[in-house]
Amino acid sequence: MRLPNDVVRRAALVTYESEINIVSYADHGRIYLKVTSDYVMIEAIDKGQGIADIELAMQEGYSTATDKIREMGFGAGMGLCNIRNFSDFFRITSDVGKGTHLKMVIKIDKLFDGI
Amino acid sequence: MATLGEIVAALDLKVRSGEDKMGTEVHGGYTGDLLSDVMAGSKEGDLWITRQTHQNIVAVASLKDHAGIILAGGAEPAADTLEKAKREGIPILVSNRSAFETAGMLFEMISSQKTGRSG
Repeated sequence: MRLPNDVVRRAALVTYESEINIVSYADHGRIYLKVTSDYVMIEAIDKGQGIADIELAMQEGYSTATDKIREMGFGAGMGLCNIRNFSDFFRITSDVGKGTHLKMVIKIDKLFDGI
Repeated sequence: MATLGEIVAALDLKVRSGEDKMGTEVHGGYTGDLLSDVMAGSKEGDLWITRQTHQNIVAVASLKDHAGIILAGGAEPAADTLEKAKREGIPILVSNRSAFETAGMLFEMISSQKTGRSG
């Protein structure tokens, strides 16, 4: 199956941002990818500190990154915003002290709404 | 629009990888060191100007399909960055000028050629 370039690019972008978040903030995590003819679904599930205030974490520019993370060009407080903006469907849930669960869907068929 | 080769010659850049990509046409550019900002704002085919030298720049350029990366201020790519860039065929070019000057010259070059073409 050949996917449209923009779908692949958006899927790679949101997966990369999710991966950076797991490496930067969680103890460990897993990323699941599901590809169907209608959509690509990515889930990033981690065990770790979790996010106390999701609304705040979703604010562009807000970040709890350390200097080490920032030196690498990350920690701009844009990761979750990018994940939301480049997905067609985005859900974030988190338990403080347990971990965070991101679910993203990128549509291949623009008319598909069966999420 | 200009080719990578024309830009390399005009801006006096050193080619560290992607020597075989000098015919690539460049239609635009983006400047930034914050990777998430670059991923959000840059477009396919852009030439990206940055000071970051670690290997994550290759990942960003690759997933955004950039024409290449210009390291400004004479910054050299880290060894693993260069290795990855060569493997993925991403041109890395080094500019001895600041990011400000490099971006100014690149903008001038691309936009003047655009004007020239359209009349």
